[in-house]
Amino acid sequence: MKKNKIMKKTISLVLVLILILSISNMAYGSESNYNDIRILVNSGYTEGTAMALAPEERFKIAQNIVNDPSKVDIYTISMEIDNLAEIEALFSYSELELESMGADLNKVYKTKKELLKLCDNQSIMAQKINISDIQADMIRRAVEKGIENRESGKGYNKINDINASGSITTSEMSYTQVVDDQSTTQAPKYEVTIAYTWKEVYALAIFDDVIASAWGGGFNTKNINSNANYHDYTNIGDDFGSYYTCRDMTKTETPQTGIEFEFPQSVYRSGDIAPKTKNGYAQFTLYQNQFQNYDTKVVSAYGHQIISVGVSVTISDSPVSVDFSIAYDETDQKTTTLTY
Amino acid sequence: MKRNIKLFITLIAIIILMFIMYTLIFEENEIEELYKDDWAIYNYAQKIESSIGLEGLDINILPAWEITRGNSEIIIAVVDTGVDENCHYLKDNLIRGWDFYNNDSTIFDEYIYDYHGTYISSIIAKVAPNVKILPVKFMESTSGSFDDSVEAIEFAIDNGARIINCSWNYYDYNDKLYNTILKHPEVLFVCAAGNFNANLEEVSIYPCSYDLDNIINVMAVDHKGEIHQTSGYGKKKIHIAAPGKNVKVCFPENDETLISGTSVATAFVSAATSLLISENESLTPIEIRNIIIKSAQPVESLKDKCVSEGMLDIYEALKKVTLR
Repeated sequence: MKKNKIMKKTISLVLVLILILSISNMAYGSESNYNDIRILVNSGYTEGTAMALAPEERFKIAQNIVNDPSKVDIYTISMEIDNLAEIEALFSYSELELESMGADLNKVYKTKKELLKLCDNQSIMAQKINISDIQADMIRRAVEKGIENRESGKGYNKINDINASGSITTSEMSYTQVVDDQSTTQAPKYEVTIAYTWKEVYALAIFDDVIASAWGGGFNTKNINSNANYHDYTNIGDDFGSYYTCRDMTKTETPQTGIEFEFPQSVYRSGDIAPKTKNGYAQFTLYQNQFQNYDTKVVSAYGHQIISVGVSVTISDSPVSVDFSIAYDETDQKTTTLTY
Repeated sequence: MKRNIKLFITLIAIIILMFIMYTLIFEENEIEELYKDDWAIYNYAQKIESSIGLEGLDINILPAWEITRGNSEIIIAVVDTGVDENCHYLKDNLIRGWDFYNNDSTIFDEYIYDYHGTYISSIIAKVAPNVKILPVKFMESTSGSFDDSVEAIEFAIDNGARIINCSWNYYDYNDKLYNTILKHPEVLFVCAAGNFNANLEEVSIYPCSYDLDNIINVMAVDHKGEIHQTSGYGKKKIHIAAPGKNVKVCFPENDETLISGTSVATAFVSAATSLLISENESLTPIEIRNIIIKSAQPVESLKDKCVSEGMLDIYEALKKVTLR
């Protein structure tokens, strides 16, 4: 009996200790997590792109920044999607045409249904999406114009050389490229991490997006990993809802030249909601076995596929470049010098 | 008797004082009511989209209007989408333009195609109500072609424009556009820093990145003096900041709304430059740029983010012109 009592006391004590330790660990973990995000944001990440990384990746990059900031080249840029133009284009093309551009027809039907339902009652749409009555009215007009374009056979052809630097009903994405110089005295080694995050839900998610990177110098790759995170949403233009799932991106590598990471803009789930990608990252290490005393560069860009013909992504090592066809809204490319 | 007179005079003085105070307070209230959602014109720390602004941080146009509201001989070209002339600000400002997108003389086609040019024009007309606006359409919705833009600029200059408002951007260097701007050194191009949150010291965004004396590059700030989250910036490349978040504008069919972006900020600077030229027509583009930079009101968040490290101050700029 006495033995049992001692046993119970011991177990209780151990449990209490475990509880205390786990709580302090959680507190330490979240504090450390907060510190890592702060370091990244102060160095050029947005809070969104810092959050897009897995905690261990965040920690690693933050540590490297603290150790030697000159070895970590960070570059962030934003991109805005014109949802109105996309909505008009969606209704301007036939299903067949959209399918030939690479659209997922089930997602096309679903998106059209969603938009038409919203247009049935503009004031409810404005309330639901948290946009002004004018924006709601413009979404309705874009749907109607698209239908008119299609019925009249006019289609939707816009030349996209120049873009207005301000529009209404947009969704914004931030994109951060980090090149971390991990070279030893004998051999060059660079870890490239690309993170993206969407601030608002974009109207259409019927295609695949691509993160593409190209480099010179014949670097080899290793430690390739990627993650696209999908979140629920209620309406376009609104904040994303809760996390649903994550997916590996599909990798296509051109040896010693470049790599593409492809992932769908949305994934299926039962019910009416098809979660859209809110954030994610792609990462790889470029390396060579010894220094040869040359410089080259690495570039990367995010391509968000929009409704347009001629879908293609070209990566090249001479000159080092990533070229998207007009079917993508793309971020600008930042060049980082690699010494090898 | 003397005492009564003294009392009477004191009473009268008190009444006059009260009347003056009442008038001042009433006027102040009237101005506040007029601009309650228009912080760019008059920022009295009103609430915009549920946040309170920084009192006094506006384009300082109210005292500037005592000097000038613009000269009707001065033409600003809004080389953009089409423009809806029904916008109430634009009733007396628009002159006949051209649509290079569709190759016709109709400068307004559709609400959703031509809202951008309409709201840009509405800002210019609000700030510089007496100058003329030449609408030249080369974009629809939010996009257009290089070729049309070059034709549109040439048309604008041929038709007397001294200022070209360029509330648009592109990533790839374009020879034709560069040469068009280069060959008109007498014309001022007011350009948007873009909505990519880009540091233009590292990234090229055109026309801002063309290193020419007849360009003023503009970034956007909010009513608290914070940089608008997507605005481009650049210590040496961007010259000035202007209101670019939650700015009250006019859309087609006389709709009014709040809008954000460097497009908006650019329109304020275009309007400001037209007022400077209205006061002194002999000013060259580089002189105008220098005046705009030197008269800027310092803003803490803009340190190292643009040449002036401050926001547009039209009254101060006009004072510098009138003192010349």
